[in-house]
Amino acid sequence: MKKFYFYFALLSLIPFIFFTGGVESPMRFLYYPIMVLLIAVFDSKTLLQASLTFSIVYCLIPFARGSEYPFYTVIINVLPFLLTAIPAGRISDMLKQERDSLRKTTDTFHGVTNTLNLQIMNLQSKIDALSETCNRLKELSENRIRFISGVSHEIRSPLSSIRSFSEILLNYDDIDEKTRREFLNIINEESERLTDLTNEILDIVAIEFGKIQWQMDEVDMTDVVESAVATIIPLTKNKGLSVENNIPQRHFFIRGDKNRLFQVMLNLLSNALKFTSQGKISVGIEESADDLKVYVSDTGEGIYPEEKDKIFEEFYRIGDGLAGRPKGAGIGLSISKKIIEAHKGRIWVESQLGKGSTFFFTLPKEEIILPKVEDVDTGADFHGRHILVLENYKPLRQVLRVALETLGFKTTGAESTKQGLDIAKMDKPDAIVIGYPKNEDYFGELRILSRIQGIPLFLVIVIDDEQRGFQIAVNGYISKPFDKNQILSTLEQVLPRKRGKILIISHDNEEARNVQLLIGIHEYETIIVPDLYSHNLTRHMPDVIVVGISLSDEVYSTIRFLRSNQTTVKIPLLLILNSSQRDINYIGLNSSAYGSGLKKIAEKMKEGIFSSANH
Amino acid sequence: MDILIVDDEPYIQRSLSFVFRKEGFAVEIASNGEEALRKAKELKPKIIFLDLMIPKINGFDVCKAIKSDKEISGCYVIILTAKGQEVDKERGLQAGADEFITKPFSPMEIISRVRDVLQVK
Repeated sequence: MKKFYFYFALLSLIPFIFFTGGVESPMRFLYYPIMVLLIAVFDSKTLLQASLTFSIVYCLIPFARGSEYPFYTVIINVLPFLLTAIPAGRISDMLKQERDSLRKTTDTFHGVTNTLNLQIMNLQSKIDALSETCNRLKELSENRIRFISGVSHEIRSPLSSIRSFSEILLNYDDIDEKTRREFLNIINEESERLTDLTNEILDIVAIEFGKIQWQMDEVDMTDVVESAVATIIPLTKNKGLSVENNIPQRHFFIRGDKNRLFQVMLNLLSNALKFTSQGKISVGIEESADDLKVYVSDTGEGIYPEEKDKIFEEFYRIGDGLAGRPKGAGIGLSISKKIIEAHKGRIWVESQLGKGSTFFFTLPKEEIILPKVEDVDTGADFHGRHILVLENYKPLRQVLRVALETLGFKTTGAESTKQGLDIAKMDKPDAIVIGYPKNEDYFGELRILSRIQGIPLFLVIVIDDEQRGFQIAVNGYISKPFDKNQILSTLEQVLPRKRGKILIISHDNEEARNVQLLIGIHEYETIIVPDLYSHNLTRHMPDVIVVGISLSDEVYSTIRFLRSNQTTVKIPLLLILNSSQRDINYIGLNSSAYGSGLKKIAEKMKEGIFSSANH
Repeated sequence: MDILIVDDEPYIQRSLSFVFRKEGFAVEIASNGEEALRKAKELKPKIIFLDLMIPKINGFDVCKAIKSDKEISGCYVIILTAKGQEVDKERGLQAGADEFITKPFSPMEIISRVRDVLQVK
């Protein structure tokens, strides 16, 4: 390329000579200012070379022609050139420097703009999330108002009966025994209805607000459906209805809450019973590839098409449009719907007015329904770390010790605070976990000990007691019931790490090993993974992340992910690059090291660990 | 004919009709809007106790129909409802209702209201 410019400059000057009337012309002096301009604008070196060559050729012409004063001609021609070309070169260099610094500023500016854009994007997504939450809250509060007005409406009916009939009984002494008994029965019946209603409301509130304790287990649906049918059969006999059992003679296992599913079945069956005056009720289970379908069919009044969705809403009662509607608060189906939906299933009705209705629900065959407590990998993190468990109630102490030991801890139990103090002084455990302190004086002593020796204290609390727990500030709380993840995250936050952790993301074993060797295996704990998905970042938060060049195309997405993720945005990030990739301008990169400067990697890494320890 | 009770709840029908009869009033019962209008025209009661959430024709429309029928517009309509909300009251007044009683009510209070109304007339 450079050569090309050289010849180009040389050639471009030839027509110029001709146009100015040849070498002998006085116009030739115009050549110098133009030369100076060209040097200043273009690359000084190339043009300088070109013009020097040209000048020499130019000077030789008088000799070749046998000029009268060849030396004089040379001086005349070369001196002005030298006098102008040298400062021009300087100017050109200065201009170049200016240009470079301008480019740098622009680059920095681009960097800032990118970071800003990223922040704007983050903010935007936060705003979106907030407005979504806001809408959800609004919806929730509207639902709540609707629910409360529905509840109060439903409560008034039985209350009204109870109040009326008890008042009648109190005010009239001359009521005959038969009527008196009738009224007392009504009062009794209506208070039972009120009780059922209260229970149903509590149920729905519990499901709605996630307060329900789901007992998820392997459930035999055949068993559930059959026992529900068995419960309802005596009632169908009273009404003269028959029951058609289409349940296959085999077991259907799903994951779910047995009692809740039974509740759904009972609700569907009692609805069928309620709305069917003659004919039969059919029950069956059908199996497809993905799910199990259970149906309850009746030959009752049927449901208006426009009611088909409404009946699953709270306080909507089938038969509102029909005379002599059966009693019920209109809660049962909405509870059933919530239960089925919690099982990731679907519930719906198909119906023909006057001919009957069929209620269906599906349950996925192989779905883990509720967020199960994840099995915690007993990572090397806590392996062998020593925890003193102080609790005088033996069963609780055992539970705690087992929970901690499955997480890789070594535990020692102490049954009295005094014993605990002795062990703590002698063995210096990494942490002390205490059950609820009965004697707070001893507890105070433990606190002093923990302060002096730097042993974190953890308090086991019952959730309700959290308020009290906070009054006697400790390093953290483990609440009952024990949840491994919760224990782990609590301990992880407070327990001091022995070594800095470095996460190396690399496809190439050699590259990873090189990095590992450089930073010193013993100084830092290194984890090598092929990609981000193979590492649980929230559980094992590294101090520094090294992204290897071997990731090639995934480098961009990896870095983008790390920099847009709340939990990893602050972790120093080190990128290993080829020298040709030097110009890559990554957003929010703390530093990068180039393939050759492996020593630099180690330095930068230590810097990173140091700075991460500061924030 | 003194009183027409319009409500689809059997226990409301039972308790109200019991006290009214006990106090010596002539009582009829209607379980839905259609029946209510038919019986109102037929029996021309002095007072109608009207529930709002009734099948076929709702309470508001029954009230409107009664008040716009010259023959029976003079009868005293007491809206009896589980909803004590202001919006309902507004709608009830627009429909021409004379009075509101909110469930749960006291039968003895209702009796005294009935006596007042019938004496005034």
